[in-house]
Amino acid sequence: MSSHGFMIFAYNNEQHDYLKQAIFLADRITKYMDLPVTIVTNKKTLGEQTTGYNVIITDSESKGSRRMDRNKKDTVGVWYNANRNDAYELTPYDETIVIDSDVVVCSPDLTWLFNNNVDSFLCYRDAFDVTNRGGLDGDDTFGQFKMPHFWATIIYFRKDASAKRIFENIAMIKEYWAFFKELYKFSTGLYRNDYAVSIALLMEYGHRVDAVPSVYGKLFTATPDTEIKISGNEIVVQFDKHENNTSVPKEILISAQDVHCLNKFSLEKAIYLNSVHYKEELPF
Amino acid sequence: MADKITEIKRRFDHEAAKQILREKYEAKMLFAEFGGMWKAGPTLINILNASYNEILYLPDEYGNPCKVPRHKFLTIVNERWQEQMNAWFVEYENTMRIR
Repeated sequence: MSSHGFMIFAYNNEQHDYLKQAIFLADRITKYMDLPVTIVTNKKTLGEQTTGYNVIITDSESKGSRRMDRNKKDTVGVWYNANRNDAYELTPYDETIVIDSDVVVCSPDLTWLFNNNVDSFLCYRDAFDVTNRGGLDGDDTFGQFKMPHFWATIIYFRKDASAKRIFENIAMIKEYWAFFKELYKFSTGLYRNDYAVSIALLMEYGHRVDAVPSVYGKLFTATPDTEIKISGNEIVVQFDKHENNTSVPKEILISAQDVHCLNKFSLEKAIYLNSVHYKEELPF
Repeated sequence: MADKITEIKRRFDHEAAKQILREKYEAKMLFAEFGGMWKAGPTLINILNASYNEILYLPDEYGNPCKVPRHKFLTIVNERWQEQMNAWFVEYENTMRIR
């Protein structure tokens, strides 16, 4: 029987407490799936805290800074996202799901990835804007040649030769980022895991676009301009929708469905409200 | 005050909710069995119903051929399909009631 578990990378910066997000996520993984969680962080982030989970301390290099809220100038933070490729060496499990700390788990759905008998490396090919405004349409491909964009938000891998090769390729792409930027003709100079994983997968499958296996279904995503509220396994997403040339405030309720929340400020507020046992009444 | 007014003006987006349910339950139809990944649905149920042999060889969602016992598999697929369709229906009814 092979061992299964989750892995969360969490490196705090000036704007966000990723460790708090990681602990909140780990609690939810335990609640809905009862599987072990390992948090990868550094000494600076962890400090004197105890997490209650398996912790691996290792430093992450940063490949640059970015605006954490794209609409606000004063939200620049260093982005420590460049050591995901170490997951293969660091994981204590035979089969691992590497998951971003900004995913709100509300169901045991991800467990089916562990029952996949064929593929050793899987991530989502499609993301779905939960507000149904098509906010992620441009993220279907990347670069001038419209290469398929895979989402590194949730990665499943099994320790075998194929997964090892993919992770080695990710490390190589990271090292020669400027070269791959020119080769695939994408505009961002900032290192992005999504692009690195997409290129590594395409290399592994000989650039046959249809041959790359992915997680079935779509990655439910709340775009950066949404606000979220979490109550149990329900998430309320609030957003503005353009109708008849005016902006109308709307909301939707999502239950028993994992959601990737891109507005980390809103996520942190929701985590805070949950942590103080603040019982917000849902509007329904 | 402006925030409060915005909050009060918020309306449930039925179109977005309907789309969410469809995407959600499409994904929940997937399950692993007999060494393959399958999607419960009318196509698979019909194939299993229309065949004569007890042992069948079918391609799974990832295009890998798998050996399946017809009757046992049909029961599993039917259960999955009905269970998820039932949940979809209940949630859809609840969503439509929100005004």
